[in-house]
Amino acid sequence: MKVLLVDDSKTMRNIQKGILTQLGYTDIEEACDGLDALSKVGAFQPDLLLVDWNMPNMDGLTFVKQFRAKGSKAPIIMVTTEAEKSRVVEAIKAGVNNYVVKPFTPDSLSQRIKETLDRTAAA
Amino acid sequence: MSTTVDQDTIRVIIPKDHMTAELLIPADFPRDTLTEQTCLNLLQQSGVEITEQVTEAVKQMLATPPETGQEQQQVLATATPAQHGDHGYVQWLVSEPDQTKEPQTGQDGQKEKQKEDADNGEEVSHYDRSAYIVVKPGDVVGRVIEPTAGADGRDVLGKTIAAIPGRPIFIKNDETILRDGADQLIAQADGVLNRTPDSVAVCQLIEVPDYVDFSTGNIDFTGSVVVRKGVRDCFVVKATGSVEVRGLIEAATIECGGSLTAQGGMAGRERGFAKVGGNLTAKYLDNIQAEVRGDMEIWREVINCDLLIHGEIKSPQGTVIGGKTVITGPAEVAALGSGAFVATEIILGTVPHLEPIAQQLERLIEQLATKREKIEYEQKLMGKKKPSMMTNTDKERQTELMFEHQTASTKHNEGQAAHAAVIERIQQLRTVNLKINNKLFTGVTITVGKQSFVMNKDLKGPVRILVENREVVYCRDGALPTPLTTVAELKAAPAK
Repeated sequence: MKVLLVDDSKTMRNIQKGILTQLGYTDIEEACDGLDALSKVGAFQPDLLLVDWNMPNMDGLTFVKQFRAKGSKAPIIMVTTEAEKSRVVEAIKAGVNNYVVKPFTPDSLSQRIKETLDRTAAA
Repeated sequence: MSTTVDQDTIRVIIPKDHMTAELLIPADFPRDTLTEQTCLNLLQQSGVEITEQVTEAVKQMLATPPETGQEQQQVLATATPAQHGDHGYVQWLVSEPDQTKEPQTGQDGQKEKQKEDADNGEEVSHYDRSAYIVVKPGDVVGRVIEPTAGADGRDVLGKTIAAIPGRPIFIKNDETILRDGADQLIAQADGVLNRTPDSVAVCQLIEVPDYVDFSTGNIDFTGSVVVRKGVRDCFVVKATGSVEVRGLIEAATIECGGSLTAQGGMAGRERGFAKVGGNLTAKYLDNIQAEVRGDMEIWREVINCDLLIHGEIKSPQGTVIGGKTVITGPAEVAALGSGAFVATEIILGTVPHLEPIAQQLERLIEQLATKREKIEYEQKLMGKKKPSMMTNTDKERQTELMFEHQTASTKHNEGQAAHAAVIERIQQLRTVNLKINNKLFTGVTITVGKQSFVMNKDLKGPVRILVENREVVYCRDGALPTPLTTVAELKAAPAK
């Protein structure tokens, strides 16, 4: 399975990469903002995306909207510090499948990834 | 002898093998009556095949008469000899060992390590020059060349001279050599290529009939090695199997995956080295350094050696004098030390291949515990902040800390489990059981764990050194164990 990590923090990407590797997912691509991610999705064709909200150049929400506008149905987990309910609703409306609020434990992110993939597979 | 046709004394001479035909014209023969056709008729009557070459030769003969009063004799026809076929043979595709250069011998008879400039200007080590062709599976060692049929010849009478075809080579090969469809000979095993005129095989044993010296070069072999005489100074014998040396091993290096048998002993003069994957059996060892994964059996003595024995010492007749001997398992020797108070150290019950790993793991566990404590401290400081005061950076740092904490904890737990397993294995292997049959001399140091005991009295054998109730004791047959401190001075063992 191919996973795209979109976060401006290299440390956060490394953490997420470590968790995904522990789960057995090793085909991972990284992008440092929404624009970078948009330039990579065409060739990489991810099966799962982990996207931060606040990023320079293009934020996560704009990226999700543009990604969905292209017709892609790959599940997206928003991994962000934005915890307000209104923000969560906004993200869900834009096409996000699941939501993880920072700070998170490795276990909680693992659980969300599994949960999201199970749900997508069942759909 | 020859076929001769006379016509008024002109003669055609054909030897028995019919390889030539000559015409002899006597001196007094009236040459003006002689025509080309007459000559050709004469030759034809003799059975000679008339070809263009023959006709041309006759013309030339008639055109070049001899001086008056001389006879003329000339070869007019020559046979084409048969070209016999070549016999089949094996074209060897391996580098032949270089045996041509014999290095100089030093004045004292000691062969010095020699290097000389080769033709290409590079230095050549005679020690590395091997007398053996070592092959590995898949190496194409040769190709069988088929015989050729040859080409028939033709004698001057026009008869065929039959060519003798070459004979094929019959070369025997066992399962170590494959002869494929393209007549290639391919090695199927690691070893030395063994060739005779009618056979080829890969031999997994090198048998050196004499010494390992400049005539053989160093040996590095996948298999076993038997040396009928000895191993000279500075030479190296490496084998994945066992090594057996029937003569003396001088200050040489022996490394083997299997056992080493040194029937003539090993006199290392502080430069001898042995690394043995199996057991070491030797007449004696003198000034060598050795590591033995299995057991060691010495028939006579071990003098000033630095030994690391992972198994047992089984030398009921052998004496250990001087040097340092580290042993994991039990040991039996005739005597330990000497009346001359030669510093002799024996370290019992160590597991040298596992103890460093255990120490490494201990250090790792400590580092991880420290790291975890630091993370926990930073987490505690962050926890004091009100959630509303937390910045995005703080939240990301918290995530980072949680991940680092989990990683450190996982590694810490794995390290502890590995450490426990290593310690358990060390306890299983560690044995303190030293039996001295004749005498344990004053001055000998016996180290067990962190304690070193320097003997201040001779102890007559048979006697055993053991650990009982965590105390190092000596014990004679039928007698109660006595603390070793009653005959030895206790000192702290030097730090490893």
